[in-house]
Amino acid sequence: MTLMVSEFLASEFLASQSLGAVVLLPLAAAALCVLAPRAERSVGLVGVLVSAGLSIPIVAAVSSGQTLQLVLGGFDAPLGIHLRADGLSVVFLVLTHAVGVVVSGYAAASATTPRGLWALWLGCLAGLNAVFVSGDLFNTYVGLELVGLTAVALVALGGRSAWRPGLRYLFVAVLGSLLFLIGVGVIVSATGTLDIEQAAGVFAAEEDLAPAAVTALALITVGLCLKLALVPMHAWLVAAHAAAPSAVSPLLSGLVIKAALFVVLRCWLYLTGADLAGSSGATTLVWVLGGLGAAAVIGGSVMALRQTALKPLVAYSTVAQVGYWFLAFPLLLDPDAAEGAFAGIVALALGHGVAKVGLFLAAGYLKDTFGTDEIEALRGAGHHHPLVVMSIGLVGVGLIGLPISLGFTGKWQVATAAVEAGQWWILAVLVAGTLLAAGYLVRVIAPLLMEEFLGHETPPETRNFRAPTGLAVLTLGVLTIVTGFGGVWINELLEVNAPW
Amino acid sequence: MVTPLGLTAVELIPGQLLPAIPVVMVLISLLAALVIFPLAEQQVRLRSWVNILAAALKVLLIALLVPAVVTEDLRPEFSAPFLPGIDLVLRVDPLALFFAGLSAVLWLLTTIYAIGYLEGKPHRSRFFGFFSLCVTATVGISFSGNLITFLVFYELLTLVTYPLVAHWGTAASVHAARVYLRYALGGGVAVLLGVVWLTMEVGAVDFAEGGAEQVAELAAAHPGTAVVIFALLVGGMGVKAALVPLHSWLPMAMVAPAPVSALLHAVAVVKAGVFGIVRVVDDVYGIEVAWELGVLTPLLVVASFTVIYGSYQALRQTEIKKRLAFSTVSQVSYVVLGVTMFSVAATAGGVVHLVHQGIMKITLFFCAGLFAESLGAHSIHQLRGAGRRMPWTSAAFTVGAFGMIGLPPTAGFISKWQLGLGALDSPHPWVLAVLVVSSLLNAAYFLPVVYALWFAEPHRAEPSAESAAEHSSSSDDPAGGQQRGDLSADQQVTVPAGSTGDVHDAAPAVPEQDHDDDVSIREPRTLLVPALVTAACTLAVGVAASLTFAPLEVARFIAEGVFS
Repeated sequence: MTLMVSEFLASEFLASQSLGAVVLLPLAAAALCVLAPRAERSVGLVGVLVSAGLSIPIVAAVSSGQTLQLVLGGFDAPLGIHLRADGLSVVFLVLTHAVGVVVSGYAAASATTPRGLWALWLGCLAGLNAVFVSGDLFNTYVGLELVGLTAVALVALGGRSAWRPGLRYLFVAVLGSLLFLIGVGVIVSATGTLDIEQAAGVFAAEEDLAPAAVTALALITVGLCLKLALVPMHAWLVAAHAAAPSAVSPLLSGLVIKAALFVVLRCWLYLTGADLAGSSGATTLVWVLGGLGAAAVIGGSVMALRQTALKPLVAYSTVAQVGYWFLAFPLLLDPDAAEGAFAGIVALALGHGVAKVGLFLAAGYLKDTFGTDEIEALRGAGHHHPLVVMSIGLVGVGLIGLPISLGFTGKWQVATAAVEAGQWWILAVLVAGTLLAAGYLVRVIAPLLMEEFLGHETPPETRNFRAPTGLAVLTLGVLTIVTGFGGVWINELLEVNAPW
Repeated sequence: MVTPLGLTAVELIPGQLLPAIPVVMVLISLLAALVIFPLAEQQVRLRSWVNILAAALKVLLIALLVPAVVTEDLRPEFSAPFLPGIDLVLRVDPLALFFAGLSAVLWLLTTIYAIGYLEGKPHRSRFFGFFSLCVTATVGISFSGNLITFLVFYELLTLVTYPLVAHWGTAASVHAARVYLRYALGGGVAVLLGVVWLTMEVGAVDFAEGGAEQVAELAAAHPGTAVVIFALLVGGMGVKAALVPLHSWLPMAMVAPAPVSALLHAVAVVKAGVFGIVRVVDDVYGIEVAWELGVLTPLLVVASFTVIYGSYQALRQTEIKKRLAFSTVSQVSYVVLGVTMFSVAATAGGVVHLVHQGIMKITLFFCAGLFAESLGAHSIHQLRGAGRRMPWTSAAFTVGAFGMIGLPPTAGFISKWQLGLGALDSPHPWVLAVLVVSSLLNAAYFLPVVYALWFAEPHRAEPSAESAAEHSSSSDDPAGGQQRGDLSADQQVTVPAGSTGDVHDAAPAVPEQDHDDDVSIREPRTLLVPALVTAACTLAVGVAASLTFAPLEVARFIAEGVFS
């Protein structure tokens, strides 16, 4: 009996069916939350856990080396819709669910969680899952729209002061999607299909399509970089992420922008592939992206250093971290360095997902507890909230990129790839970014360790060792370090349906 | 490091368990930290037990490893995949064991000292948690089998020391901690760059006796690259090793609690830096390759300058802890001096000084902490006549000071003798002059302190000794004064009425006794015993330097391995 159960759990059937369910069930749960607003918290929690449970057979199947595929309705592409999960999908699915479950725990336990959060968050989760398991570009677009619109609504939950940043975010998200859609249109007119694998096959076979591919890629990349807040398109992110409620900012920073990154990687590496290495248009594009990445790393970090409030500081840190991913883009067209750079970008993105969610949760926790996130006013907060300060230290390890963390693994891989390709300037940017990150994180931690209290006369006496919200923050801190051992596993996963 | 006589390692530890020991030793300290962090402040007894048990267990494990590694030439090894193509490797070789042994023994003593020292002060769970993490990092550094593993623990050490330096939470200590972090992270980045570059040139580099082969090939093919990588690695580690001009963080970090200073100077941060330099010179490049590259002589010159400059600065300090800090700057460079002179005897001298300096310096810091706690003495003139009131502490301090000067029969004499022999044997006999000048300077800044302790009349310029102590600690030294003020305030607020302990009882008794300068003070035992033990060790390793497992013999064994 148990053997049968375990066989069933490991079966490809279950895994491929889960591909559909992981998108549809969270959507259904979201609808349920809207219908039964009183039970939204329990429905929401169950929905997130079910989604996480469904991702397990997918992860298991892909880590055994196969690419999963589900043909919806039995129609083959280009008519029908394919859901597909390979190594890249799975690592982002794991990130989404690991972090999503912890943040949901925080949101369920926190008293400041706004009403309506669960329906939107479940919708966002469905969108994220759809993006990650989508096999064609139209579904990707739908997923991205779902993620973007729910994210805007989540920001707006922050109250009246969040409406203006939310509106700005809406414009950016819609504009980004539009550009993406135009890019997809170019691809369809050139290849005649929306399916990513089929389109990739056409691009590989017909060399004269390269200009179309570069045009499409440029449109898609610009559109998605708007959503990713790559410098100089970053101003909306700082306002939106800082204004969002405590449980929302982590999701926006840790997961929502990852969807856009995922699509960028998918399009650059899987759709158009290595055939662009000789194209001058693509070369220009990666160098522009690399330059913007470098500017983001330095500029974002310097801006983070200059903030006086916690949440804007953390948001600027996100701007800087986005820079790292694009900093390594010029390496992707170098055949020697591409594999290492790709693995490095993915590791950095995953590491950032865990660590930044932890840092934003900690910032939200402090803001909810003390009623302010001005760093000066939080002096001495470590006295009664040692666990949270400790967690900030742990996620700081990941954000600075010190060992042991995925941040370190990622930087290591990007650095070695850069040395391999002879791009020493990337190394210089990595070093500068590392030191600046240490600078702004020390600016956060040092006042918390001070003995004196400022800004609040009677410090809250609760120690946070048993508060579930504090434990959620700590979990992410610990995860930041523990995932540092996962670099090898991630690289093995990325081998499944690797673009080379 | 007493080994059970007559038993071989195989009888003591089954062979298949041997490779687990290094990782178990790292995990013991880590586990201790994880247990200690969530403990409430009042759970003193449990916390002390966890601390002491973990520390004692590690000393025991080290003792078990000694015969296996030294006599039977085994190299227990543990590895786990970490980065693509690179493993985390923990391996026990004689040098690793040597350093780990030092850290295990001194950790045990410092833990006992710290338990007494922090009695009744706030944030002890945090303190001991990070203290354990600090030792985790030190053990990891000593057992690291390749550069990546070394780097991982090296950075860990940087991070976990930060909250220890900032422990008092005053503006001065937070500032000092920030400066420390700036220096240490900067150095860490340089090391990281060196490691990345070297790995790209030759692949993952395992530490090997006599140097790694791939590195030798690199040095032959591209000497320029090899030199730059060497400079990055050693320059980065030189920050922690406090090589001039990268030393400024060290005297500032003196605002930390006394046990932290003791550990920082004797085994943890500073030692990790020099240990890394020894590893790079001897086990990554190999001394022959490094000599042919011509990188040893510049390093030797820097070390010589550091030795003299540190001593000169120490002479200028009037505060005890500052003087000791500059003394560390100077003394630690003896190790670098030894390994860069390019002779077997000098390498043995340098390596043995790793341990000897640790024992002697920790004695001095224990004593400085005792003087500060019992007499409120922070500057040297406040120590006048302290020998009559605190004879045991003063005796231990004297032994440590004589060791630093290099008088027989202390450990310091053995180090300097061995280094002197090495200098004559090496291509650089002029180093002997450096040793002599440095010893004279050592004498010039330690003998006045010893004289003040035993022979000077008690300091009576101000109306009473008590107000003198109060006055000078608040005016001469704003940071220290503020720190003490905060502490006593905290003590009043946070110590529950029911908490007892011999240290706490003894400490408030001080002001009453201060009126009578001739009444001896009963030092808190948890503070005094560790100081006496390390003082005794200072003498013992000097007297019994030629016994089988004495530090000198082990160091000679290691040095022969380096030149084989």
